[in-house]
Amino acid sequence: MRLSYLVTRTLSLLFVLLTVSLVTYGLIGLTPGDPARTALAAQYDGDVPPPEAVDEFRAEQGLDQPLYIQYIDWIRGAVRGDLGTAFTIDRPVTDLIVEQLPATLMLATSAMILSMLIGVPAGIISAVYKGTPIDSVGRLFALFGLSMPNFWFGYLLIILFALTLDLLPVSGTGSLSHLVLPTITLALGSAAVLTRLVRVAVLETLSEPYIRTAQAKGLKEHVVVFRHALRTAMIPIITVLGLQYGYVLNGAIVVEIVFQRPGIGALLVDAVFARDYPLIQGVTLFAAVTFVLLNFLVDVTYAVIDPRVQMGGEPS
Amino acid sequence: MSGQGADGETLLTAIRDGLRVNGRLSTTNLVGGGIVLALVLIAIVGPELTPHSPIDQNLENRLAAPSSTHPFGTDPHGRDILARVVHGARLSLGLAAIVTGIRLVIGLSVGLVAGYLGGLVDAALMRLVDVQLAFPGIVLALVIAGMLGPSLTNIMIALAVVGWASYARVVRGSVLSLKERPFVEASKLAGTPRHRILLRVLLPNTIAPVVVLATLNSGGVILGIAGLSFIGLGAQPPTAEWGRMVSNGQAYIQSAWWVVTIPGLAIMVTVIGFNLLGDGLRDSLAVEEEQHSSSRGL
Repeated sequence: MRLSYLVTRTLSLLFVLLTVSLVTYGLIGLTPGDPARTALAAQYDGDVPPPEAVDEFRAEQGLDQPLYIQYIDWIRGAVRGDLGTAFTIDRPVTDLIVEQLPATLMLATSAMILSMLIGVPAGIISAVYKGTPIDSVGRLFALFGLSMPNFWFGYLLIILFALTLDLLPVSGTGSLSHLVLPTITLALGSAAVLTRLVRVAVLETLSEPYIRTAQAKGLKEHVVVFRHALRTAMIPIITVLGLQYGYVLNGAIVVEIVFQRPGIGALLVDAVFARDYPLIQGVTLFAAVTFVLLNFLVDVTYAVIDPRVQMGGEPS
Repeated sequence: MSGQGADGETLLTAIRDGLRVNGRLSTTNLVGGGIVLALVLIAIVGPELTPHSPIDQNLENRLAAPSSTHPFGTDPHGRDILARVVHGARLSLGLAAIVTGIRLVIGLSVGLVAGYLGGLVDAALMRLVDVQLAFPGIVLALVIAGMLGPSLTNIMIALAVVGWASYARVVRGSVLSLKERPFVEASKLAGTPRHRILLRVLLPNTIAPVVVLATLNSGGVILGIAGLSFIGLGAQPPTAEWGRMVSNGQAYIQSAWWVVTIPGLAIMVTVIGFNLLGDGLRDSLAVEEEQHSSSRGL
């Protein structure tokens, strides 16, 4: 891998991160009304807070400063891991994120593993049996998986496995059995995407000349598929897995709400409804940075494992 | 395709040819197109035909099971679910059309300008596109809609803002490849003004990939509207909206399965229709596949 590629990619990463932080902070400008008043209204049970209290709160939170000064202060803190204090609960935003992170990571990771276990073999089988009824089943699965709203799929699972068959708990956390239904719900969309992409990747490799040669030599079909085709097809598949993890992490928001699980998604939604600006900005920045870094890692890995990647070239 | 003055007959032929693969109407196009067409019809005339109001409450008849008077049962407020689903179709399809329209206008303009002008303008606009594609759309849409306050207009704005970049990228790509072609060079040499080349020569030739993208995208937008409304942003009571209807039913999931199940089914069928039609159009218009993972909205 050329060094210049890594440098270009890192520079563009920094640019994206800077813009992301600006957008995240700038969102506060979208809000109708005054953040200090909104925040205090909650503490005064919806009554109009006294002006002295509003001024005091502004000074305390640095809201009396111009917006760009606030942004610089915020980003300075963010670099050191300090995202300010939440309005609604008097606690550091970073602590709240760190507390909720394990639950979300556990859900997203188990969903990612499940979707790989389903999507990769389904895609391979669909490709190998292209045009047969087996392929049709694979493609139908992908179509349904892509088209189902995941919150609705979650309720269907609850109706079937928790209420009708009484096998699993409806919602909440605690035991491993609480993780089963949320994991399946979250995995469905990603499994469908993987099935499609793996199918296309394998089909493309199967039409390469060297595969034709291997088949012409009289090698057994499974040797051709597993020894030759899959090795090449794995490259795009691995990169897609990285990207999918980002999507799965974000999909966790809705799934956490359906199953009333704590986590980053539930934290963000609560913050949005309570208009807790520091908390919203902190969680958004955290989610965006995670997503962007995953993208970056995927690109770099891709360049390392596939020597054909045109480095430093125009990103298409 | 000249793009100017296409009369009704050529348009019809274009549509008919556009739906065919090797001269045959493909199954995906037939089924997908059929579903979408049926839904559009339901959205237009359906609300006038339903005998019950989607909003009037009848607490004596709450959570009634599906029957001949209420084929899909009634909800916790005694409202006819069929009427609400049909009105919801008008709402969802209408909103999706507007969101897709806004995305198209922004994405087309950015893509055309970036591709045609090139240089610094292109570099700057494409970095903007990179940033949007690098940002998790679902989180951004949630936060924008939340900040603006819960309403249908605001989720429309949120979804439009987070979804135009893929159009810009596709359009820029086709403009770049068209720019060097003889017929564009010829119009340039003939002294055709720049805006005319953009609108009359380049724009019509980027339509096929854009139509495919917009169709696939509509499914994602429908899921996005439903998802944000499910969370509690977007449609506010008593508006009949599919995502909101699902969340209203969750408390009664044990006793009245139909309240949650039916609206979700409506969402799924709609999204399947758009996904099938988009896939079919991609094959019949011979458009190369872009990254597919983005077609899933929320």
